[in-house]
Amino acid sequence: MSVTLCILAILILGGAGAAMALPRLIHCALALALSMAGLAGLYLQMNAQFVGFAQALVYIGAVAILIVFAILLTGGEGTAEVGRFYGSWRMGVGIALGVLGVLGLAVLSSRALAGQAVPVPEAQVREIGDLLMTDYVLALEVIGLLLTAALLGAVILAMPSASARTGSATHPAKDQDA
Amino acid sequence: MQTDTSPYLLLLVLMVGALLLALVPIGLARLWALTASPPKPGAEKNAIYECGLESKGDAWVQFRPQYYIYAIIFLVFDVETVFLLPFAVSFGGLSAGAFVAIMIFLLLLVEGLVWAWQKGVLSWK
Amino acid sequence: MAETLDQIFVALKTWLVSFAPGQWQPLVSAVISVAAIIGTFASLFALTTVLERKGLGRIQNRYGPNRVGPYGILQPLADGVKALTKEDVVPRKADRVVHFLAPLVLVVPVFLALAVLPVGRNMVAVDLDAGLLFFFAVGAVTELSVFMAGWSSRNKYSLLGAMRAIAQMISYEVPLILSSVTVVMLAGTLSTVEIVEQQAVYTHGLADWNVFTPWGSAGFILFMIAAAAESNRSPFDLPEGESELIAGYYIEYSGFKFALFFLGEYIGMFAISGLGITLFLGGWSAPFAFLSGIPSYLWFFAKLMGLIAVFIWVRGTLPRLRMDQLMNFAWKFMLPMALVNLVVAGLWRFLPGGVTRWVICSAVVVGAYLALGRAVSGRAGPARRSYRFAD
Repeated sequence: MSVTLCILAILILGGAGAAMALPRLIHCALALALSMAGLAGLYLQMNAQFVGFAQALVYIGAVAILIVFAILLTGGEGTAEVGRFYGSWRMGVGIALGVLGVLGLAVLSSRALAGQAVPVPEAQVREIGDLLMTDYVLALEVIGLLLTAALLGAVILAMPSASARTGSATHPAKDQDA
Repeated sequence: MQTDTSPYLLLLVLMVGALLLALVPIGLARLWALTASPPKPGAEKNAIYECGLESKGDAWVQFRPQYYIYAIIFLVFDVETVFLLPFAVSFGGLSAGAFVAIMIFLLLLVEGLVWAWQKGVLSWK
Repeated sequence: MAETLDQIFVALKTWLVSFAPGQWQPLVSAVISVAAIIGTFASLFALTTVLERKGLGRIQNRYGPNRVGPYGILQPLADGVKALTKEDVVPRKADRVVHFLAPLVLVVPVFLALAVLPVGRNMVAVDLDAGLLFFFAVGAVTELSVFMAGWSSRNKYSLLGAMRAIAQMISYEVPLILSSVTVVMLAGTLSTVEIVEQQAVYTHGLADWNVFTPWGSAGFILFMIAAAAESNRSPFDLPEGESELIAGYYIEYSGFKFALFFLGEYIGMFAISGLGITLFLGGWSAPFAFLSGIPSYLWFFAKLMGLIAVFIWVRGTLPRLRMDQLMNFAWKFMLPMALVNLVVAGLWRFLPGGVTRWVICSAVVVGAYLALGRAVSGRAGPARRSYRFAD
């Protein structure tokens, strides 16, 4: 257990815990971004430079922004007057346990626990690129298709509300130039 | 300035240095405020600044969904660039077939962009 | 002699580090590099604030600051003292924690971004294998800082300014990264040091800078436009348009926190200009072979000052854009143009060298420019500009 790993673990778990516990939604989003930053640090600690920086770029730079925009889209303040546990919490716990079980199985069956020395991968960006363009080129195209589908779906979902809400702006300054 | 050790040590020191650059003057300013010019808060002074008019309503209101649409499109293209960068690095050793493959990948996304353009989503209103 | 002058700072650092005991040497080396980076760029910030006000003053036919020190050159000192002694007013309704954190979250990443810029031969803080991606990753954090500042102030104008700023920054980030991808395609590496070294070779006495190719010049122009938008510089300064939004996302900041926002913006501008120099203008290399006796770091900073001068000039010349113009330009012109430029970079590699390659690649760039310009503006060609109020 290195000191770096402990600090990163505290950052990730603390951020994730705060994201669940804080009363104000924007604070939760910011705490989640902190947790994401910790995850990026974890990748770096494992010598996965490209994945670590990509994590920071996509999750802090884009996903966190998307989340705060979504929060402001639903009315800004968003302190819902419902309890902390609502809906089908039993199903949530079930899913969480399932994910934990799968992860636990993966960890238990990994070579690190069996005492074998895991070869430290030298994941240079060039190697990632070579593999991506040769062995995994079909996966790349499928990802492209998936991204396009996500783009279309998200825009279609957001569009009808766009036409419905533009007229009913409640913001004095927003009417002119928001 | 050759790098002989883990690069993350330097990044960590740089982070601490930048934090100090920000925090030390803030601390000095606080010290000055405590000793020489104690703060005098007031209802008017600490109100929201809106050019002298009294603020009406809350600032944390509902925003238009167009911001969200742009963020979604940005997210999709951001993920796309993450895939483009490793491709670009190994581009020198790749065949023309691989270039065609990445062009298909790009064309799929361009198709989404053109569709959004046609729907008028990309026009700020 | 030239060699010694070129490496004088590297030698100085090695000499200083040799005083430290063995196991402390990495830390001491890091501290010296960090002190050099922060010291250099913070002084450059102080200098640029004066130069910008002087330059804008000249463009607007007035003097600019000229009271503090000779030619007003000590103005930053006066500004610093003022920022330190002003009362730090925080609005009553503000979210105090986030309000305090926002300037810190801005200042730290912009300084981190400087770490991967090679400012001279052998003069880079860290040479990362994924250096370019690191730059964009830390750059992305500044968007969150802008949001934190705007939202936590609980002011309508600041939140509106922050939303606009983020919409603008995310829209221009895509063309920014895509135009750098062209360089990566031809350089075959994400390491900023290697990208510069590949440009520091000379054919017929002229440097092999990326800007001297069709895809490179188109990429450079796209990059610099996107860079101006990313650093919220005029004509893309809508988020802080003082005539409509008072000052944008940092209205409710005063005292040194305001100064930190100012610092962060300028350092961000230096960082992104430095990246433009690294990618397209050959970093620390001299343009002509016979000039390569001049120390490499002088070249880097000369180029940096040149780009800053262009930024100031543009700010003094162009009016501010409108929000719809800004967004349309990003998504309907910059993004398609950057994608076309990717194809051009691919063609550049697969076509045999010579004049035909130049002609074909330039034709594609110009053709795409004309077609997109026509599609966005709805005009067939350049029309006579009409001045509605000035004629």
